[in-house]
Amino acid sequence: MVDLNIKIGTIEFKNPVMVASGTFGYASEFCDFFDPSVLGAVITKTVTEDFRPGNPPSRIVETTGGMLNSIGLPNSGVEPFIREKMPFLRKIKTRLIVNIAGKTGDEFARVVEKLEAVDGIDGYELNYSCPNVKEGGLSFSADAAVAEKVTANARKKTRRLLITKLTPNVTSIGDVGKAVENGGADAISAINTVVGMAIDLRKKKPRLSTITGGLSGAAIKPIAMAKVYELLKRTTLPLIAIGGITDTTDALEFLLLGACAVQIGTQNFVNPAIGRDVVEGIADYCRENHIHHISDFTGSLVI
Amino acid sequence: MNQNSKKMFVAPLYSKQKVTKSVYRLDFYEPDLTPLFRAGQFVNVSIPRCKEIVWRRPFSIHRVNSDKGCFSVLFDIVGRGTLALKNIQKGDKVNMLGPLGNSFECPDDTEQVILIAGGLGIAPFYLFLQQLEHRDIKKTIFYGAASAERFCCLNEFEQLDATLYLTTDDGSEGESGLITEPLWRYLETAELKRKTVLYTCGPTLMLKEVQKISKQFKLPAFVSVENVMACGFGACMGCAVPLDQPGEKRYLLACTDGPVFPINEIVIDG
Ligand SMILES: Cc1cc2nc3c(=O)[nH]c(=O)nc-3n(C[C@H](O)[C@H](O)[C@H](O)COP(=O)(O)OP(=O)(O)OC[C@H]3O[C@@H](n4cnc5c(N)ncnc54)[C@H](O)[C@@H]3O)c2cc1C
Ligand SMILES: Cc1cc2nc3c(=O)[nH]c(=O)nc-3n(C[C@H](O)[C@H](O)[C@H](O)COP(=O)(O)O)c2cc1C
Ligand code: FES
Repeated sequence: MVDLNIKIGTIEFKNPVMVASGTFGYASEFCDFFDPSVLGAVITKTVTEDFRPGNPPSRIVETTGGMLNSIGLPNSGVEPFIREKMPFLRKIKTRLIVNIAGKTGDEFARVVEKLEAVDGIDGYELNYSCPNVKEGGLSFSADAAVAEKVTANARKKTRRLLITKLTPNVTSIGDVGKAVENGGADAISAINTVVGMAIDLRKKKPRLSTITGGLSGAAIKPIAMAKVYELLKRTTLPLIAIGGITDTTDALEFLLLGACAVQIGTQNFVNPAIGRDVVEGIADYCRENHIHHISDFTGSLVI
Repeated sequence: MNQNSKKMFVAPLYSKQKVTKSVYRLDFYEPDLTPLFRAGQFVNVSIPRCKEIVWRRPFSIHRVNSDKGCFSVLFDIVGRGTLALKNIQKGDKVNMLGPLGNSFECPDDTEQVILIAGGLGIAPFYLFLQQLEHRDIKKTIFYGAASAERFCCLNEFEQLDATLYLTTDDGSEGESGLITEPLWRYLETAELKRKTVLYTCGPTLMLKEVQKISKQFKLPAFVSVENVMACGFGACMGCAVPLDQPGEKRYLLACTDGPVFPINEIVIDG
């Protein structure tokens, strides 16, 4: 028997495979393809205090080995989320992390507060990073002191698992990592999308309505790996690796580097059952290599 | 939401046909799902042997043959994905998601349907006519293409009892100019059945004209949109379609709320 159980903070997860915010909807979109209960955790699309319509089209562009997006965090707002999405999410037999964003540090804290009263939520992931949202996002990570304060404010509101999701679009992700550790985060997830741009030569126009957007997919895996490596050196927090994971091998590489878990993003669009495939793939790998517990493998990279 | 649940499936190529200089028809063997496919719905196709292509490519379901257990897609070569798709061989197994999206609905009391297609916008209308075959409905098609040799399946549409009006950009067949020109004239002069519904699919310019026509003649009209899609099943929120309403902007998703919309409820961009 292979044991894929992991523990982050005080919470146990049945395996280290999660699905990244904004790439798995609210899970119901995937139920025709596989049962999300097999995942280590489901992470919701970002929830904000109020309704957001999202950005005008065009919102997505395919690029070499990846894609650009400027979706703009469309969501119904936290109250409708609780009413309309939670009844289904609660039924999935695995951990549920709600991803949160706000225009201000106070909004993060208010959304956490509203979700505290709701059962079936195991933790929060604070989205400090979405580069698409003009009025917020970027700034929470750009300044380490702000990142620390926002984390500390959210920490005061909850004893649930608190994950801070970081952007690579900063001078030093290590500094921000250190800051959110000081702020009281239980774990760090990284990376969010890398700022990028694409142009349509024929139309002589940018391809995204917001001109720049966030790059994701296989193309960003090496960047993600370097950022996770830097964070591992700078903080003692558990790290959840995100960025360009398209198969079991990619996921294992991040675990080998020292991430305690991984999140799969863009690949969910391409192969909607990739989460299940990677869970099975990791179990097979462990079996073949006589790894009894996944933690025996995590961080065993030889440098 | 559509009534059928979607699946990821692998279908072997049953046959390949070159329809025009750059248009191909692929028939896939999928006996279980074929009877469920509704006109307007699409499949999202993983392009085989093409590592550098990230997303699947969406194609309307063009026709079904439930006896043979086959369904078809009809596509034009416009880029790398469609170029690679053209090269697949009989027996090759292709991974797809489907059926996706909603479908063309034709209310019970409908007496006439007018289908307005530009280029490959014709693709879903063959299946639509197949589905209307045994209903007592007058069927008229307005079909525009770049030139005479670019029309697809003209004989077959006639076999399905449809009256065709054609235009080409270069005048090599039918009138030259926009397909909506003869449509305007037809609506002004022809004796329309009382319950007439318009359906359209194709280039943006044409869709905008049909939007005007639908308003002018107060005819209900449905459009099938072809947004760029990353997932095709409601997960990425990339395929936003703006709702035409005053006040704060709101968006629907082309892949799950559509691809078929009442034409006057959405903003047609471009
Ligand atoms: C629901 C739906 C049904 C469709 N049905 C059909 C069909 O039955 N037959 C058919 O031939 N095509 C259909 N399309 C369009 C088809 O998906 C695109 O032509 C295809 O994805 C292009 O892939 P490519 O790799 O060859 O082109 P790319 O290399 O991706 O692009 C080549 C060029 O085509 C443009 N393009 C790409 N995708 C689209 C798109 N979705 N709409 C408009 N322009 C695009 C690009 O901007 C670029 O200029 C449909 C699209 C949708 C959303
Ligand atoms: C279409 C799309 C939407 C996204 N939406 C969100 C979001 O709402 N909140 C968030 O924190 N990250 C969002 N992300 C970022 C992903 O969660 C992930 O961090 C990023 O895509 C990198 O992982 P990947 O390369 O595996 O896709 C989104 C990414 C994509 C492609
Ligand atoms: S294509 Fe992803 S939501 Fe429509």
